[in-house]
Amino acid sequence: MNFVRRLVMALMSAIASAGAEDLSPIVAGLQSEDAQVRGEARQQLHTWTARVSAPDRADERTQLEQALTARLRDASLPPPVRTALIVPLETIGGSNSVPALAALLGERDPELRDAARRALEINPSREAGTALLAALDAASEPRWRIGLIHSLGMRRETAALPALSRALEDPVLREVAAAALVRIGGVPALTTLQRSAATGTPVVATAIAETGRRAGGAGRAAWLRLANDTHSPGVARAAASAGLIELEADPEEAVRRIVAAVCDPAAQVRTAAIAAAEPRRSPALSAALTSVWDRLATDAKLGALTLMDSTAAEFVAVQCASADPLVACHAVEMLARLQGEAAAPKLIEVAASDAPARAWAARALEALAGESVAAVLRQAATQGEPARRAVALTALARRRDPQAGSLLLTALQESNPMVSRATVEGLKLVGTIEHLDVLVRAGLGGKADALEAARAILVRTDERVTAVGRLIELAKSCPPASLAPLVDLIGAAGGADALGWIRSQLTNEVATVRDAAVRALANWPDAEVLVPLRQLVTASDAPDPHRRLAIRGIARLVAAATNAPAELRYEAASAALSATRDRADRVALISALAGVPDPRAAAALREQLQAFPDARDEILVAMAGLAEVLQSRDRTLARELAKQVMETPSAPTAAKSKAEALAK
Amino acid sequence: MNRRAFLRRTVLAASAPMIAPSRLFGDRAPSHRITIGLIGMGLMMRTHLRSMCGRPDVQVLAVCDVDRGRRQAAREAVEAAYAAKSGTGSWKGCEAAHEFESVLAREDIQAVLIATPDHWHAPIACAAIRAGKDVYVQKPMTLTQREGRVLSDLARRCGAIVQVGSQQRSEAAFRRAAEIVRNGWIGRVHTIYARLGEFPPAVELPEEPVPDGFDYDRWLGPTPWRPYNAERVQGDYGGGWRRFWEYGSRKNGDWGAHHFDIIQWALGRDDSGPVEFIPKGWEGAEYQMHVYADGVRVLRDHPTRNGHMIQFIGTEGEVCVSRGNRLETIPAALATRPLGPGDVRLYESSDHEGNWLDSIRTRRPPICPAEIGHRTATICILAGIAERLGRPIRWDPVREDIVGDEAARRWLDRPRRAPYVML
Repeated sequence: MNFVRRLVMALMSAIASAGAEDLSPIVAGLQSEDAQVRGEARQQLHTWTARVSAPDRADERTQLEQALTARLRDASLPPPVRTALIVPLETIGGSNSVPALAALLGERDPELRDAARRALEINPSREAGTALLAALDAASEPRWRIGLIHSLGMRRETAALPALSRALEDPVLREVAAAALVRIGGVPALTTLQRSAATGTPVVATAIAETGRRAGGAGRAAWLRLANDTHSPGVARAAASAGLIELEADPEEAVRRIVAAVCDPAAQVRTAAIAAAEPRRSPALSAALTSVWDRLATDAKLGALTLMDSTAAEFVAVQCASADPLVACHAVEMLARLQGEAAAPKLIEVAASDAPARAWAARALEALAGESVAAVLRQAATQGEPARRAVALTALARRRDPQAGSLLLTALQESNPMVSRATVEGLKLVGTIEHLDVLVRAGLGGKADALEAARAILVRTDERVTAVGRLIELAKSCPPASLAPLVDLIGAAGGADALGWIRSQLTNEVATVRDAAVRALANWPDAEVLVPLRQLVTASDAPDPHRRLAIRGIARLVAAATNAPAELRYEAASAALSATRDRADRVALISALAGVPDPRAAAALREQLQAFPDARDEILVAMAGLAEVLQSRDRTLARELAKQVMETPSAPTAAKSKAEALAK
Repeated sequence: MNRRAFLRRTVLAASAPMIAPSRLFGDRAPSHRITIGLIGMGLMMRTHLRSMCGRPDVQVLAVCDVDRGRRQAAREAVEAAYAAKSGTGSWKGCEAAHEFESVLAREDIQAVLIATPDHWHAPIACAAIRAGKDVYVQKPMTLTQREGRVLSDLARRCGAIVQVGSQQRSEAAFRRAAEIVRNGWIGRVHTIYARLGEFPPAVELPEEPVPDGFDYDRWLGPTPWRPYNAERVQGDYGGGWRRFWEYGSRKNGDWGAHHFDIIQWALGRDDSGPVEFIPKGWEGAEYQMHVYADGVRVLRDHPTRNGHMIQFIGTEGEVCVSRGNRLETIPAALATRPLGPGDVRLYESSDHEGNWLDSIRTRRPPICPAEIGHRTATICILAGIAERLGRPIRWDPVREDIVGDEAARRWLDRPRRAPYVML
């Protein structure tokens, strides 16, 4: 930064922080050719303005306003500088600055005079409005007139009504004039709009509808005309109808208005009317809406449902079975809101049917609060049609009803498939380890899905050790031939006790139990199982299917258990590689070795490259990956591996994977 | 009906236990297609364009931008997408409009999606509603507080469906976090951290020639004239126009429009807002903060647990939530605790744009209607005003007015440059 720039910026900064009344350095900064200096000047001016704009700084505010005003009168300043000096007046300008700003409305520079207009628009003094109106009378350019009309509207200058009336007849100015009149509001503004020759245009019609709100009886009359005129634009009719509905004093007339609007062909009219009618819910409105139900469009039906009160509950209940899924779903929602707890029987009926809203009714049963809902569900869970019982059992489970567990256990013996499925699904949600015994016995007795529920409980419970203990205890009383499902369950639970027990089953006399034990070990989630799996792989008497399961388990864990010791992972993988004869298993093991940060893994992969050229591409990709893993531990070896990968030809697909890994 | 009554209805709808799911619209026959126009073909519109062209229930009929190159490229993208879909190899029928007014004038277009810079959101959305269109408008909904009030009232009175693009409401983790807070599972919430980040400062830029085919005057629209510089108009998540106060509220309007929105939802304040905004640095304040009437404090950019986007701290626990469905709770079990009977169930949506389209069909409120968008934008705007003025602002969320600071009140709206004054 050069010396002059530094000096100017330091001066500006000192002035802004000290609150001195000298704008000179800032004005000089604004004229700089250096963008950074100009930016600093703007920032300092802003900081100064913000500081004096605080409520307790009236004197400083006046001083800054006067200083700015004085500068604005200096015609020798370039327009961009004067424009920048106007900006603070948007925040702090009062009557003192009006004359200077008003004078700028006659400037030729369009951005300068527009900045003055904007500052006057927001200036609270009356004289600002007078100045803007005078400028409008003298203005000819459409762009400039648009700005002035808008400002007069924003200030709600009623003195501008004649000028706005004239502007309404000009197609270029009509929209902004109409908007200004909406902003001004009241009967005179409304009358101005209504007297316009352009009253039938969408712009003016919509403005009339918007102005009606603050025009008393005249506004209501205007709304009536718009709402009843089918040639009016939909948006204008929407605003008029909504206004009439909101402000109508006569309840009967309001109902008539609502009904007419929800039957309107224009979607906006229906939507606005339904929103406006919300506080007018009444028996009369419910009755009126039901009487025109068949004439309503689907969206109007949805809206009408939200407008009905409890006297229409029966009608709403019937609609729960509507063939139109949207109507049916909304009816279910409304029935739950209108009737609360009392809706439960109907909701059970719908949920147990094949109606489109059945899933919605089931969800409503989950959400509905109240002890009587629970009571109705408990009763339904034990009596009546299987479909109703299934719905009730599911709802009780999802509500985490305290009695759900015992009711579900009772229902566990049911043969009906719907009830059975609901029971199992319910127990998956609310079953506890207290239920394990019954579930396992049912499962071992042939009810396979009971074991599904038991498994879900085991996965979910925080008392897994206790659960495993109970299952092991239960196993002692089971005949050996039926132990296999228990092995699966205990395997799903995991933990040291479970692992020990499962390992003991590797020598069980029953083949299916031994198979289950191997399967459980192969699917074990933790690396602790790598040792027994390795023993299985190397055991000379292990059946081939067991060995293959063990190899796959090793491949999975060596790849996934990245926190386990590299030595443990390498040794398991190495043993498995020596034992496998299957190409897919070999490739899985090779791929797993890519993540083992042990130099012996590199040697193993190189050996594989020599011994199994048909797996060359997969091995090269694994070597590239291993190089990446090793680079932080053994950079030399990583480079050697990478070099070997680069120098060994491979298929194009593998080359891409190699390159990606090596790039890292 | 007054505004608050309307809001109660909106909130009632929003807290409904269930909302008609989009899957109910199984029949996506051409007669059910919604015809739309896309306005503002910059950074944010890229995702919208792909999404809209991929929906069988939507037909994009027009794209609009002040940059000729952009609008032509967008038209080509739309036509290429439809050509690929139709299998004919070519498809024509997407207008590339320079001015949004020509899109709004088309009677065959039902709805518009607005993804311009913030300063054009309200003017275009209001014009669209007056033209009878439904609207999806990117967040923050408006540049000024007054614009938001006008837009929300207009949408209600004219029966328009307006969805604001605070799309975190349609992400499961944020809904879940809001439900945990709303149901009191972490006790009484007293402090919330929201991570917004910071843009580089808005510097003065040297004037550059306006590129051929770029309507810079219209790009500036209602904002004060400033010399052209490519950086000023650039769409850039890390800066571009977003860093300038003229076109938004910087990070408050950027990430704040997402995170403050979720905080409002979680606190059940969709019809209200904070009562005080304190800028960073005020009397040594280390963090920007806003405070609700019951004392709940929201601190911007305070470090959060595990770098989460939002952290709610209650008397009995915490909820941390971020994009990518990241949700952490203390106690941990809260994250998976099922909602019970009578628990607050918030409006469920998993597809923000799809929710808008469904609302157009059902005429039921979308998940983030104009009033909610307005209340969220109000927070962004007021936090920005407090920052700009360098002092706290007291806010009356019922009267929607700044209390006891006349100069700050003037900032609730910004005077518009002619001729782009319409709202």
